[in-house]
Amino acid sequence: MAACVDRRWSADSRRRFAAGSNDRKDSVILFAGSSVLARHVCCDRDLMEADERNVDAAMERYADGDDAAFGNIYDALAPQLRGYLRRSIPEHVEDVVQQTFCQVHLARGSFIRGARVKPWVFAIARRLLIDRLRRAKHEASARAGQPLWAPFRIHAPDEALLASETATQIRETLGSMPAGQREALVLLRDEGLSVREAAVVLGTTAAAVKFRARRALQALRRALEGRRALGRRKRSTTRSGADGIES
Amino acid sequence: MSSRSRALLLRWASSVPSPTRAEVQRQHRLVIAAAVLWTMGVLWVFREVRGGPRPIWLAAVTSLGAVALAIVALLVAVRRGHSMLGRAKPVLVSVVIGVPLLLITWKVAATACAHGTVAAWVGRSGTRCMIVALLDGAGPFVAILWLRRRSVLEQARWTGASIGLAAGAIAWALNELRCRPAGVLQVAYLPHFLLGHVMPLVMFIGLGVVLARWLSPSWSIANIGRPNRSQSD
Repeated sequence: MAACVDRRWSADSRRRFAAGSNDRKDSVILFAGSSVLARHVCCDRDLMEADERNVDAAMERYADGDDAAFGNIYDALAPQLRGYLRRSIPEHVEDVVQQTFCQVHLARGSFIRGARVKPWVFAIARRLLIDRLRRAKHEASARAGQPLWAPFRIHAPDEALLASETATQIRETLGSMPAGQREALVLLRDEGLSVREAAVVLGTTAAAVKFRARRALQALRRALEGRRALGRRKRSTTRSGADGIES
Repeated sequence: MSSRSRALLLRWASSVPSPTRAEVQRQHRLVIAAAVLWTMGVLWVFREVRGGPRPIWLAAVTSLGAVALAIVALLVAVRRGHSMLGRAKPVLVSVVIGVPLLLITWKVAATACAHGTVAAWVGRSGTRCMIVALLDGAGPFVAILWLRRRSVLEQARWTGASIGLAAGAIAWALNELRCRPAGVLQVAYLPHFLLGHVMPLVMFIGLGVVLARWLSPSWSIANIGRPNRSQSD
């Protein structure tokens, strides 16, 4: 994973990392603790745009009657949708993904020539998600204990521990922040939507999306800084205790 | 799990037909033609094109202004721009609030240039104008609702309001041609103006907001054909 990050971490990604956090180390910890955000690091912007163009082209063919293109659209967008939905309704991800593509299938004839598919599909998924959460609040509460951010595979035990703790911290912070901020951050940083596309999906302005994402990143940074300070205090306490025992 | 889900979905999609773009466009053309026929029919039945003492320039100015604003409202209501998510909220809000204000301002300003426009109009309360305007706008209203049904993901109420506005603006423009003053330049007489011209516009906008839920896709799982899990067994 580290090699992947080193090899494919584009200058653009680095810039955005730096903009989101004052401290490079925080950024690395933040992203190391989240498999989803780490995946973002590995995604080159150009590749993503090329993929999106291919999906748009597939949707054009599908709207014109080429049924085989539906599989291509599913293959390109379903994994991203799963990543987006897993955070909110991990137990119903497949159901909502299927529902989303059902809607895409039923509405293919009304697809506007030249329109973008990805924001549309994400907006459908978001509406389905809201509907699902409204109808089943008790299901939402049942998922509270499940991990939203699974740590990726790390060999060293101390790294694994660090990543696990960071993931927990991120999960808790994300869970406690307002839904608008969380969604803005996820759509921009994880799903790779542009600010404008995320604004369309969230039904707000581009400036509001930027503001929400910035607030979300600030909240994450504050949480991680607090955790790091706590860790330093613990380490110094342990060290002084050990010195006392030795003396 | 995901490959099974994919297979189920593709099998379901092949078994549940959905109209292609060409088929949808054909349906849209038929609906638009039906709406135009309806409006022409109403115009034919109530074919009292304004004559009388009202100057031609005033009729032309008020009618052309109303037609221009009706076209703007129609474009915003029917076309979704370049995005599948429809118009942005600021655009919808601006049009839904701005076009009625402009229609009223244009009408009042144009008629105010002529003399005696607010004289009492005895015996013409505006009820007839209102009924005919509602009939005028009914066809376009139903047609645009049908064209946009299940296609609005965001801002359904504002989109519904813009659809009502489009229908109301068409009715307003036709009313401009039809409303015959009994005396000299009395068309802006306030009670008649409010009941016969403004009220239908407000009613269509309100109806659009009320019926906005028809514009959103049916999210209910029970209401759409889902890939049946048992198909894979």
